[in-house]
Amino acid sequence: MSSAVVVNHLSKVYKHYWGPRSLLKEVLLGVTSHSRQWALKDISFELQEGEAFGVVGNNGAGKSTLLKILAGTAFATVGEAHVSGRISALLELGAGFHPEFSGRENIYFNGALQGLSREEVKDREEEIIDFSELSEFVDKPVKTYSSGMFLRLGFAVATGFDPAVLIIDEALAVGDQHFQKKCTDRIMDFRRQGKTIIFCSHNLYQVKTMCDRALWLDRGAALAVDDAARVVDRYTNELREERKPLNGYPPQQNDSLDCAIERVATLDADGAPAADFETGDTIRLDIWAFFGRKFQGTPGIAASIVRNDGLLFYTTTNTKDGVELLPLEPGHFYGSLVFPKIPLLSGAYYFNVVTTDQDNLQAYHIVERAANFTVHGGADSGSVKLEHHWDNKLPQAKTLAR
Amino acid sequence: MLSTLLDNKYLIRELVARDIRSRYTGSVVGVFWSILNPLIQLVLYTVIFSLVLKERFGDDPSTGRFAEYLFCALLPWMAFQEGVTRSSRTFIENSPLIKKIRFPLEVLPLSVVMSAFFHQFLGTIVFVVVLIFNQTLNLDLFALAFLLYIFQILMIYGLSLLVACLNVFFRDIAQILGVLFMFMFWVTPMVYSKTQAPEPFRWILNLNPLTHMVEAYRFVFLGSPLPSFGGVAYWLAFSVISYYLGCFILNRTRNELVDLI
Repeated sequence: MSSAVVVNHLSKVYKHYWGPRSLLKEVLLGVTSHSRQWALKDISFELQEGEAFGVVGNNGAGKSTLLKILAGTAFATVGEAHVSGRISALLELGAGFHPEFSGRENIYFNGALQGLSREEVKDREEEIIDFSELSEFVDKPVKTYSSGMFLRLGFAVATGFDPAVLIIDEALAVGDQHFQKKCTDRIMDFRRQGKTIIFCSHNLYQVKTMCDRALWLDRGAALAVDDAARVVDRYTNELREERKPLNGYPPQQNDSLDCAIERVATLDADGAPAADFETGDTIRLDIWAFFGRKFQGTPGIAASIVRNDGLLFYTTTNTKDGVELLPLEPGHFYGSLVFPKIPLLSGAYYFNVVTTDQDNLQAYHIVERAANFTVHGGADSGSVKLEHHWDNKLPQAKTLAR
Repeated sequence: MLSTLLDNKYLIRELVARDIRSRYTGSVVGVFWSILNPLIQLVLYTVIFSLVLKERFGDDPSTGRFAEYLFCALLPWMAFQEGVTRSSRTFIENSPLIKKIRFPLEVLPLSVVMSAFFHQFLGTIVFVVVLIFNQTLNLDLFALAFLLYIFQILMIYGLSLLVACLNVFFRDIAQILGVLFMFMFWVTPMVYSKTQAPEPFRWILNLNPLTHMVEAYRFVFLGSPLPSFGGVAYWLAFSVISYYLGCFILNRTRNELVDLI
């Protein structure tokens, strides 16, 4: 194992000149005519080969600047960033395309941009065309492509030349549902192949699921470099205090009808339909879902318990729990999620139910308020009943010490 | 600098090819225009200057050769003008490449310069064929042309790097160049011979490195007039200095440049 990325006391200043004349004034007369903005302040971290590294933070925290410096499209003012191995940056898909040239010519041109020879590109050409699903269009000029085709080719080209380090800025998935699945699968493949991935996203869920470690940037400074789940949790906490809306799910795909939640029901401990419960009762959630022929992989269902004021109590998925859904007729699946001794106190609650893939990175069909239920919790106050007891004895050790 | 260029020779080839092809996409005869254009130009000059105006070039007694002298000088001049002018905008025009992909900056002006040189080279082939037809080609020094090419490219590339960098900081550079080239065209002895220039102004011509470049090309292809060897040496030195100056400026401004594009 060796370091794939080393970032050492990295800082970046952007100079903002006040106008076209101020730069001339500064050069000729030596009068300072710009303001400085620290986009990054003293960032240090090191990534091992094969690590997936997330970058989180609010807008303007310096995420993009950091990715640009790592990708080599901007330069550090102080400190250094060193990346070993060929980098592919998914900062803007298709940025290097020339509209007048055919898809195939652009594949060769972009291969050259990434430092490959014609022969090396030739070896991968077919695979890239296959992946982008352009077959009959590949010899047509890129300007005739639909935006979906353009992005598909962009993604295929950016990931098709076997990079050692992949830098992703939000653009995790493009195109329709089927192609988005291919994109996330390819990125997960990269992860399994031990490639280094640097991933910047506002979708904390994806960062948590995909990354080993993460960096939290705030106004250019590193607030934390730690285990991804821990960093995301700390960042989430901070956001909660600022009362910013949270996204608990991966983004829903537009074309969601292919993987749909069909029916949901809440039942009591005996399996009879029910919507009223006491604290400590057993709740059973039955889910029927359909996964169409386009879907490949293990079908997943995520279910969340939410209170009527929007407070999310808990989310789980069958794939995370390592349980497969029960196949019924082809494409149809059944799952039954049991919460024994539910600790919820009085209130109105509902289940959100979502169809996902095996990595929980894609959400196909999000059904909010799939099923409502109420809980009557007696005299306790709060949100949940916590296990407790009273132990009214004076500690012996203390008495002796006195 | 040179090693970066060598590392990227395949990229440069693709860029030059892309530039040349993009000029002719959708046209019926394609790159053939690069041969047709200089041919038509040369024929036109011959008709106007040699047949209609009956101009003599400098000390040459023949009226038929004016177009040859003019065209011989115009070929490198056009490559110079095109290369430097287009280079001044190349960083800004290719900002998506520079901002979104790790891209060796030095490659962009070079590809512009080489694409301009490609047209010069095709023009030269047309020119040489016409010279052979006219039986006026000077074969003794013909091989030296390749040496001149090297220094000419070195000079154009160096100046291109310079204006490409400066234009990012001062967008007026591209405009200033237009005016500058207008002057340069007339203080370079192209439509006249150096000997025709009045004595009091001749020092301006001698100070202009392009004068000596033009004279060197004429001597190599046409065998006359004899250039001043000090002058040619001055041009060669200017070319090398231009190259190093361009490299120096790019390396000094590289980091700030990408933020301003």
